[in-house]
Amino acid sequence: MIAADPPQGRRRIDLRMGKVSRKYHLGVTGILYVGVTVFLSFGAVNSQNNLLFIAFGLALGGLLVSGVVSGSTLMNIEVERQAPARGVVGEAMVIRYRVKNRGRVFPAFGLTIREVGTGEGKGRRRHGWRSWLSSEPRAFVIMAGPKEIVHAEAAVAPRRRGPLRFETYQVSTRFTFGVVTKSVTWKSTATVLVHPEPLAAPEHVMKSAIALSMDAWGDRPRVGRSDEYLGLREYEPGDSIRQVAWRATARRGELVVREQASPSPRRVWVAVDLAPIRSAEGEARERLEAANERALSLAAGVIDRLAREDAEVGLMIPGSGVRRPPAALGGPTSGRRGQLMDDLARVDLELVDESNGASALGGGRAAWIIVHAGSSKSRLTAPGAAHLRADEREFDEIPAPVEPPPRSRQEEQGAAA
Amino acid sequence: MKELDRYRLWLFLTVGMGIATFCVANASPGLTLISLPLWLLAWPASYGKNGKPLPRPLILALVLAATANLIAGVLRTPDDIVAVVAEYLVWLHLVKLYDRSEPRDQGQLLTMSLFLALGACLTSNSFALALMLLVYVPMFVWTLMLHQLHSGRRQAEAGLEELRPADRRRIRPDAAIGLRPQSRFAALVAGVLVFSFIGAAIVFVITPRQSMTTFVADWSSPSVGRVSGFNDEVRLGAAGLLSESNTPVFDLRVTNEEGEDIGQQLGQLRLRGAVLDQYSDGQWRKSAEGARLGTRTAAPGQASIVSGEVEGYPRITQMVTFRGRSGGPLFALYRPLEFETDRAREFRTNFRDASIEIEDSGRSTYRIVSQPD
Repeated sequence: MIAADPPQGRRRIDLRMGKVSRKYHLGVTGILYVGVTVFLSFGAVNSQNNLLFIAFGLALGGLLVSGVVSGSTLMNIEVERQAPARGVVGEAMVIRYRVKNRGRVFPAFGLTIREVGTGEGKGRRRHGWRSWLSSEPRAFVIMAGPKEIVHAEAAVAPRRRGPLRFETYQVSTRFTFGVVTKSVTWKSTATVLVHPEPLAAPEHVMKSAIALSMDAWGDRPRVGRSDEYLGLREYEPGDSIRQVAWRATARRGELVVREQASPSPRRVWVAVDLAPIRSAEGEARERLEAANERALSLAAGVIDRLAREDAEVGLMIPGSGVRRPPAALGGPTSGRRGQLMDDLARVDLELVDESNGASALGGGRAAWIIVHAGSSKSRLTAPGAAHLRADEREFDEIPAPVEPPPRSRQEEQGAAA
Repeated sequence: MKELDRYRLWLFLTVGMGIATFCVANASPGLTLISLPLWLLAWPASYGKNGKPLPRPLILALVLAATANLIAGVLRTPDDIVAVVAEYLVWLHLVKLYDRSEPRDQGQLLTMSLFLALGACLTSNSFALALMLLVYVPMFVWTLMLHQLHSGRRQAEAGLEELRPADRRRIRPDAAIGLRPQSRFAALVAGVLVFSFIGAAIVFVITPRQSMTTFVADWSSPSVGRVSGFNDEVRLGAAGLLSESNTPVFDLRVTNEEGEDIGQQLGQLRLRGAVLDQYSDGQWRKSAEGARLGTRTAAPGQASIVSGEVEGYPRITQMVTFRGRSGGPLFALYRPLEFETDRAREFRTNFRDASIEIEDSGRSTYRIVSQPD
């Protein structure tokens, strides 16, 4: 099962729709300031000291100016969150805030913008940002002049994969004297789909897995028109004179021609064998969750590695409803790769259904790489598949005992159907 | 914004200015000679970019030493607690300058600097102090407003520490800044200062003075705002602020032998009355001889002779009406010759210094005739 779809692209906030609330907070500093001001007033009246009267007046004037200047400035501030559509676990994710000062006179100084609220309300327990981030997203605006627009950035590194939901953000300032904190809060939901961090298996493991899966299907290079050299053969009528390998012809004493390899891409299925966690509890459940997350990260790493091989990659996660046939991967965040990463990000481990998982994979003219979540007992098998296990210790390659089946036209057609 | 990058320098200067202001108020050369060089040394040694903070145990030991000095000072001069506490703040300032310098510590430095300036106000009201405050207040406001920006930026930067170094370099937490921040900041500080001073002037003018004095008198600290007045003992050497009391004590009418009012002609009048003639342990007291004055009873409408008249000198008559006083010496412009009360009461005279004391209390009126020596 897949979690709810995230928004695509940036989401603009309709200020008329978002709930806006304004507050004044008198913190410890404010209480101290008021206390000192009261003390000054008593001291001044009691001692009739003119300097103390002036100091008391300054304290009172400062309090008024602080409230009026920053309070009125904040009333004219509009902030719009521009959250990214996607992020990656462990990588910096930048949330931008567009800040507009609608005022005509006063510049706005020292604005702090931060995400507030847990986002973990009823029915949203798994989507609150606090469980995704180790610190609250916080941006700072040094100054926004009258009628100016500035952009502030808050950078965070998600530590979990999945749909990360932001609901409420707050703009506050303690300017001018730090006595009173003024804040304005906007309610606006944005969701960022956090991809798993691609986990790179050791290169030798990956190479052998790829080779194993390719070899199993006899996926050898074929004659074609690419620049890649394949071999020599005897000249046949109709061959172009440009294909003649003259040195080899001279050595052998007969005409031989060069053959070029076929440019057809390799087709690879990546399957993720997740361990159901529904029935597990306590530490066992935590262990299974960690193993599943690691498997998904490893699958992301395998997909990235296959992208370097120019392979067509498909993704299958039995029990979760994910099945995307092999296709050419696009750029790092868009195209096919983006879709596959989205699929990996959306997998809700709570909803993985054991009974729905296929135990025997295969079919189609493609190689298989199966990533297992910790357990060495493979739940999934496929003819000629390479198996990778991601547990807490290290990556492991599970030997594939299955011999490659003979290929037949009928079988291929049946699988495609 | 360049000034934001110079925040530490501004804070350093503000702290130094605060210390100097108190030194001027306290008129303590010793404190000045120790504290200002230590303040100056803090920049290259610890507070500046290349400086290193002192180890925490040493900082703690210094704070404890300053606290011990505070306790000793309070016990030594309990009447001068403001100066002692302010001096403690000076030491804390200096210790803090040699400590680490996070925004929280910088905020503490600013708060202490403000309290130090208040301590200076309570210690002295000299013109030199006012001049120092004229420089200090704008500097403090400038630095305080910079502090708000600096601490906000540092908090935003703190969130970046969990990012990878390569990612961290891409993020600019101070990038959100509009046009001409420097000049706008300066204009805002100037505006805040002007409005604050206007507020201060208004408060200075409209705050009730005398009417509230008695209201807060019961809660007053003995050393905060001492008011001039009359007492049987005078202790010398105590430091602190002495404020002039404007409370009317009695009404006086001065006439010559022809009964003409000559108060305006005499201008500023100086009255003589009590005599404290014994000095010991830093205190002036009334001597035992003074206490052994002879007690007599004055009858209303009948003059009581106090001292002999000298021929050739004018006789000045003073009509004095006390407002709520509980006995004590009577006052006259010159050496009293005779006096007369409005009702019968006991009085004591000392013929050596011609002082007069009455035992009665409450509102009373007396006529006294004096003669210049």
